[in-house]
Amino acid sequence: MINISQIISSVQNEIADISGERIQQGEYIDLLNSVAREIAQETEIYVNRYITIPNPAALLWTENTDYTANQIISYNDIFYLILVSHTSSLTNLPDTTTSLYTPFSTWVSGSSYSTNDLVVDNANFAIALVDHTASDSNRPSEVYGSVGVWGKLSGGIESIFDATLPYMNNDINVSGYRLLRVVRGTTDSLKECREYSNQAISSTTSGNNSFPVNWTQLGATEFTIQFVDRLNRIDGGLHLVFGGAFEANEICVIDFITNRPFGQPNLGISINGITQVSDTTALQKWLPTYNNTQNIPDFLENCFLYGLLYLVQQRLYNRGDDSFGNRYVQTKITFEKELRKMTAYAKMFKDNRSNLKVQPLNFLPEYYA
Amino acid sequence: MAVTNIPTITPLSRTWTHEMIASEVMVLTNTIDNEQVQLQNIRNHMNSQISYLVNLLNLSISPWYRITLTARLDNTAHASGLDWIDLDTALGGIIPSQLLLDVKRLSVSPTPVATDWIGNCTKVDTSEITQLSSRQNVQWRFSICWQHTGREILVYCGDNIQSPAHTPASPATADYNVTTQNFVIWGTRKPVLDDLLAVSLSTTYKANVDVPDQYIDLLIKMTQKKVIEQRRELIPTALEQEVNQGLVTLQQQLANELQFEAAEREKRKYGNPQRVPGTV
Repeated sequence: MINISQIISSVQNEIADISGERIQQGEYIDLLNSVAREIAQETEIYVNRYITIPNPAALLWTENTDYTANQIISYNDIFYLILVSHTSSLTNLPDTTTSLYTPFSTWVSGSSYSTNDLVVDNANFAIALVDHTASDSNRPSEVYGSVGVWGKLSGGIESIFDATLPYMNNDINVSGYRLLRVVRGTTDSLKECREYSNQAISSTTSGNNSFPVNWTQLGATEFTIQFVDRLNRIDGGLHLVFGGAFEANEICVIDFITNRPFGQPNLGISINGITQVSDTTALQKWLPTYNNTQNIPDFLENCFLYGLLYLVQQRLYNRGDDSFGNRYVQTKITFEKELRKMTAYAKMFKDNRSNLKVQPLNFLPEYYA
Repeated sequence: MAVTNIPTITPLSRTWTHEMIASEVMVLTNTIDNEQVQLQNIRNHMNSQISYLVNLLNLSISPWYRITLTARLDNTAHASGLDWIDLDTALGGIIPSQLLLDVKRLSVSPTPVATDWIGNCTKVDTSEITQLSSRQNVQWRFSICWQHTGREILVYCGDNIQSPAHTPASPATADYNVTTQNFVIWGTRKPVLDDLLAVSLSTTYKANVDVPDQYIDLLIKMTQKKVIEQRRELIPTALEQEVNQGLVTLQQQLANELQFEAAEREKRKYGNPQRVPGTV
């Protein structure tokens, strides 16, 4: 891996501007970002992963929300079971209104639990079925040991059919432009999902046959894409509507190609109360600073170098420095040559070494394989 | 905060004091009493000639009178909304704006912490710096620019730089913070002149002259010429010629140096001149 600062330094030497007074710091960043975007679009090798939980077991408590009995909410980092259906307000806060909310305690080994005690253990919400002393063998997260001791609770809404990939969300620009792979399930049993037409999925979710000609019904691993949410609002998200609802805490993993080559796209947002991982490595500062370690793959080095050099020389030429006229044209030719070389390399990289399979964005043949 | 450090200035001559030059001029002009030309007159002439000579030297890239001052950005914003360094605030009895003849460069030195901005600030025109302060041009968001105007140095800190006069829109964009960093002013200074106090009280009269030794002879001749002028006497042709010759030589030398430096800079920017093969 080569640090991006080495490329900027190299260009500074090439144009004899080690004092940094001809091309300013921010200019290098902006020019380099435009080179990076061009490289990203040519090569399509910037694969991003977005993980979301469309139907979290515990929703964040919010004011003026209709809650139904047996939902689980989170308030001030404590989980509560909703006892009675109601509309939340500031006068019936979860921590003070015991008639509406009962808190979950964290499961502790060795404790004595009585029937109907509520605990949370590794994101498993459970109610004690018998009086017992807790041990690792009968804890709620034990699949078999907990049978008969703990009853599992699910606070999920259980009617969420869609996962949302933030696409162009106000100031957050993910700019993903092709889905590669979608899987859903729990972490130990993820299932591949396939894309079908809007007609097939809408037919499925409405309870009719997905394909009238052969009565085939699609399932939870088939999805379609739309740009509006459940309420037909355009919220800037790319909505993956599935044939089956998400269970509580079921995750959906979306791999997609983006034209944001530096680090992960900025997903520093919260969806359904789950905070998404934010982007901390985008190229923002001029280097050298003490802590910026923005790296690029080795095989992109020349491409970045000549791309940046070409833009810098062109800018100096446009500012009236005639001596760069011929040079920037030469550098541009070199850059384009490097770009072709690298595109070919990246193609080989994808075809031979990656098991990611590109799915058509809109339609697959309407039969169930 | 203004200027925080001014280095001690050591006079440039190794041996020549004001007293010795005044004595030399007295001898050369046969001033054996003080009825026509008093010592104060000679000291005054000497001061004016030192100023003139040093100004010529400063016009070149002669390094003798260069000086570096350390400064911090002022705590409150300038009337224009920009950051600034006030040069009027005295430090140890010296007012920086009176000491400085010109400001050549401004750079920022590290503290060092991760958010330090390090490098040369770019000198821009007044209209450029006022327009930059609108922060409409985002390509300067990591840049620091300056302009020496009047008795202050105006400093533009880009949009992603935290400074006393500018807070970035959100903490996430505060990539740099120059609030506590030292700015180094690279300038040329005025010479240390004779303070013209009584000989017994003066701290400069018996101290070395602030002119490099190679120009002392010229300085003596120039002072000598002034004394003769004061006496309303005819200036000897030889003396006039020598003074003129000295100044011409000096200017010629300065011109050569400037040309050489300019050529060097050109070479560094544009490379060696490319010629058609075969041409001489």
